[in-house]
Amino acid sequence: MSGQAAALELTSLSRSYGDRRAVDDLSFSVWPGEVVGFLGPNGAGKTTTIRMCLHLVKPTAGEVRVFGQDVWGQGSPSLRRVGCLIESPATLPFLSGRDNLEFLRLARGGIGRGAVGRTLATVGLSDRAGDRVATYSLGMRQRLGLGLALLADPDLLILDEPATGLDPAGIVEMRDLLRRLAAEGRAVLISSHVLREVEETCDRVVIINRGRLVRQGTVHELVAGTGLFAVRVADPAGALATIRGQDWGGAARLRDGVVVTRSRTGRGGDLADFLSRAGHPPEMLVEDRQELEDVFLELTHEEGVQR
Amino acid sequence: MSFGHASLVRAELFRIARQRSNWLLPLVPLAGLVILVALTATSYGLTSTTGKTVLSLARDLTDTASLVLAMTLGAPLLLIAARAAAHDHHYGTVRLLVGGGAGRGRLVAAKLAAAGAIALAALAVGMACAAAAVALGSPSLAGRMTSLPQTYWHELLLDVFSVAVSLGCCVILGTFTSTVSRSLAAGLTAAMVWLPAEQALTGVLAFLAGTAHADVFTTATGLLLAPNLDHLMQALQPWRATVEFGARPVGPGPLPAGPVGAEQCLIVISAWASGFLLASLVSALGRVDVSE
Repeated sequence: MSGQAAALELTSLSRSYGDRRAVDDLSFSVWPGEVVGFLGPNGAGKTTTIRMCLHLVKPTAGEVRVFGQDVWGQGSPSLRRVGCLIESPATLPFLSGRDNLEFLRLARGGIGRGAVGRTLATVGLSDRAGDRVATYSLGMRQRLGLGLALLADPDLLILDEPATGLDPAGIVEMRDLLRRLAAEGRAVLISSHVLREVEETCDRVVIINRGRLVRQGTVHELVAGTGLFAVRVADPAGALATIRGQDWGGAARLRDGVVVTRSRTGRGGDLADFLSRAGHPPEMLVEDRQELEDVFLELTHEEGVQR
Repeated sequence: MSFGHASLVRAELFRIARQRSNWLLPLVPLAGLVILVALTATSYGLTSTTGKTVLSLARDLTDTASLVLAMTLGAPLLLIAARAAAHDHHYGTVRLLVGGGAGRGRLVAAKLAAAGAIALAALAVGMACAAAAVALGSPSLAGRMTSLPQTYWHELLLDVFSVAVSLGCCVILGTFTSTVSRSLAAGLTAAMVWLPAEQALTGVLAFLAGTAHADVFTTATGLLLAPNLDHLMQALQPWRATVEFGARPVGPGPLPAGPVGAEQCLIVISAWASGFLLASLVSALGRVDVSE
């Protein structure tokens, strides 16, 4: 990715409200062609961060660059390449879905008339395009909000909780759409609490807690890099006691009758040998692949902050 | 994809035009014109020109029509301007627009320009309708309009200018209240209450000036926006004794401070308008944290 500007680059971004630091020294990038999940518990600072990226909340310190341009230092022309959906969809309820898109088309300028029809088809609202938004369901409003974000054919999409209110089919459609957009070379940043969707949709994940970065990496790195093994043995309690007696096994634990532990050498074969010699031959031994949800909960419950 | 000024104004006009409740607003000036026709017919149409010169009749009718236009167009314009300025914050579309690269100052300027364009169009249509209403109510006068002296046409221009100033102030006031409050309800309420509240205050100050015999109250009255707007038409035509609405003097009467010159009227009105504009821009540009 060298030589190419990041679609979105945050450098030491901070925002304080009085004594409280909502966002604290946050740095990460989103590159063209990737979908990045932006995760954190409620109040972690996700929406404040997104608002700072979109010239809606002024940072106390740090920098936001969109395609190389400083959003706060050089005005906001680079934001014209951005489509956004922040929290609830920003729609005018007294207008129809089509007129909402038409309003934004006129405001932005330079977008062909055909874009409105194409966007309605993309988000599956063609049939109800002429109805007032006040009559739309939550999911339909969400689709329209997504349509408003997509209308200008943006190079960077920033979506805050885009799956809210969508039915399962809608969620699958959105996942496919985002993957397609990334495949076309666009960058996508999604903030979401639906971790299963993030795991299936995103290439990389950025996790923050209390305004600070706690982990970032590819989804594969996050879920597979635990170094733990799940071992099924005839006497789990006995095996657990044996392992805990070792200097490397203090963190071993039982989970649903299975012993979850590290290996002294990091290799599963060595762990199997050790247990066999100790009289607990494994009936099953697999690398303990965590769900993203486990990683998320573990990281956001920790007090410490890693880089 | 530039979010240029013209694009934003076009979008604002589109939004205003597509809001169905706005379609009812022309009923207000329409009702005013119906009253104008009735006034014209009962005051002048039936009695023809008895006891009055053609110039005097034309002046009376023009003044009346101007006042009807200023009042009946002003209120809907206040509503339109206040709503246009408040909608983005009320419905959150400001996130979409600012987050997509439209500047806050540009948004305010676009709303002002859109409401201003509507005001100009409304004034033009209103004048044409008022002329038609006068012709309908007093055909005897309509037939002799071409014989009116140059003075009348000059006064007509001053009347139109006064109405335009009044409508412009309504647009700026509506934009100001909503931009500063960032609330549809508060912005609309403040916009609709502002001028009547000043009228009421004028009455109170006049009462205090009369009872306390203190100049400060009369001076204060001359600094308010509403009485100056009411008085502008008269102040611009000092060669006339009174500008009349039907058979009555305009507005709440002469300002307590006595006859106020056009220059002072225009300065006070300009100061208010500039203050409103400045506060709107400072509010839009200065309060960068958009929490809506």
